[in-house]
Amino acid sequence: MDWILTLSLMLGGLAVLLLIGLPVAFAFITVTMIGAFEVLGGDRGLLQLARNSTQSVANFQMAPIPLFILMGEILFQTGIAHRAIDAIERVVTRVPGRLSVVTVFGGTIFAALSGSTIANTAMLGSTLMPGMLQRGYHPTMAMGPIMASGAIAMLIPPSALAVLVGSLAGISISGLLIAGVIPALMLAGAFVVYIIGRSILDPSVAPPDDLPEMTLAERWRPFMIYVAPLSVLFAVVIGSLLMGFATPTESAALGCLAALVIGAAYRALSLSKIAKALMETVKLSVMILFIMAASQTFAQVLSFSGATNGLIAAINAVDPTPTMVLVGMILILLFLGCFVDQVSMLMVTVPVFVPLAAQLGINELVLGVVYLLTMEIGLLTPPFGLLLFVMRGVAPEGIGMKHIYAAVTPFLVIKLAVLALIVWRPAIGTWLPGLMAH
Amino acid sequence: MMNFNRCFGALTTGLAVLAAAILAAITLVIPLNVFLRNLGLPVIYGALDVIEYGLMAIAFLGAPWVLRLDAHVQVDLVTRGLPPRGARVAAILTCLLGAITCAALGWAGLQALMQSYARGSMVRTAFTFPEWWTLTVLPLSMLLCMIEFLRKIFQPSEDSAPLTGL
Repeated sequence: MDWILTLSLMLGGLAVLLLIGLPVAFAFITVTMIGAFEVLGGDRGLLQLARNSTQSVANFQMAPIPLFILMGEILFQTGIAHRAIDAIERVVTRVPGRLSVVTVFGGTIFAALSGSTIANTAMLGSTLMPGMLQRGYHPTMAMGPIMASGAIAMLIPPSALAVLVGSLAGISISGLLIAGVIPALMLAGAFVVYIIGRSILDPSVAPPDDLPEMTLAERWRPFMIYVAPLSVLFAVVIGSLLMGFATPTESAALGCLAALVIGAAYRALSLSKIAKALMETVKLSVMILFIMAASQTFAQVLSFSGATNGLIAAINAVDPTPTMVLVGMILILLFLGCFVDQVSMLMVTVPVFVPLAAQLGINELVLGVVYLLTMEIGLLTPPFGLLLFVMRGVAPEGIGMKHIYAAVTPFLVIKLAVLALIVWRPAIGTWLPGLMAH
Repeated sequence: MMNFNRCFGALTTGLAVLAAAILAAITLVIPLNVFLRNLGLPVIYGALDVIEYGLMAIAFLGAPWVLRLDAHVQVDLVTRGLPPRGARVAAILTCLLGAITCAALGWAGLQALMQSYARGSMVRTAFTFPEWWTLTVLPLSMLLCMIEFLRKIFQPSEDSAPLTGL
């Protein structure tokens, strides 16, 4: 069969199955099964799919995925994350748009504790949103920072999706985990600058408010009790990777252990909370790992049918520069991100993008960071970004999708600007991993 | 039907609890190995292999339970806007397709298992054991997912699917 026909049938079939609402994992299995039957030799292809599907998941590289999720779940289930918000709020004073700034700080700190953008957004939304609206904040200034900083969890370790990108694309997982840190901090910094600037230009969007007079000790004591100790987790996970003490799997497992110890130290740990965290982790991990079951054979079918090489040859025929190709990849990922979930974006594009990038000499860490940022943007792009709906779930009555789209737009522009900056200056993504001890 | 529902629900939940127990074991074994290694003591033999098979078990044992909760990630681009009747037709169609897919992959998994058993293939890593052991979990998982898809045709869930993702 002609590779163009195979490719069109596989991607077209996948699109139809996804659109009628078949869960992503089963949609991938269905098209891969038909593709394996046609391309890999009938029944033999099906047997290969069955064998591959168990092998794709039985992969040690995937181990950090459930462990990173578990670490975040322990912190959320024990309520440690929620207590820290109040403490952060006390130390941020006399800043225009104060609560929006608190949101960005809180979101970024939690991004370093949990890899779940949904949990991060829902938690920021439920704890900070009512206070902001009550104090007369414009919905844009209340919801925008919540969604934008909630999504940062995808970039900063522990990020389960960074592990997935690294594992699927064959990029150094520890390198990619570290590579996301600087772009994430740049995003957070740019959000704060935007919030302060907008609040100064138009004070009505974030009416000035301040905390009642407090002594220095009153302000900083909760921070030292509830936020400072969390830096232990940061040191365990990111520090151990950066110093080269631990593999990503080890750093993730040590992070879980540290989260348990911190939970116990706050006397917030109970068997029922641990059980809840474990079950929630199983739910999210299965969701990801099960999609991976079809990954190996999906890529093999594309490769054996000649689709991978055909597509790469067709792109190379126009003799593009690496930057042109990278920008083209970004545009495709951004387009996909408007409609499908993050794992599907990866599964469909990795078999072509990774060999193409390798041929053109595009740095693998830059490609990885581009993947993470575009997937993060995909969580926020109308009409179907997942976090927009999470926001609607926690927003009070009367706030419609139109308000939510408007609220996220300025922050999307900032994210796109940072993405463009990475294409222009790839060192933003490669510098920190370059410092890692080997 | 009620009895079947209850028993099937208990079975899928039980397997998910088993998956959670495996996850808990993995979470403890890895740091333990890190400590043992750094203390210069012998590490737990074959931990890496056990963790790999543990991940496989988590994914396949947990899949029917996650399907039951409607927590497998789904693209509701079109179905969200459908009128109730249209949504019901789409739901039945996806459940049928899902059941057929699970039946086919489960059958292929069973063939792979029987082939491996007949050949006497062995896995030789840290441990040596028959390969077909590792191939049991896929047909079992697919059988349960198929039943769950068929069950959903007759007993659609009343709540809308939860938002899932990372």
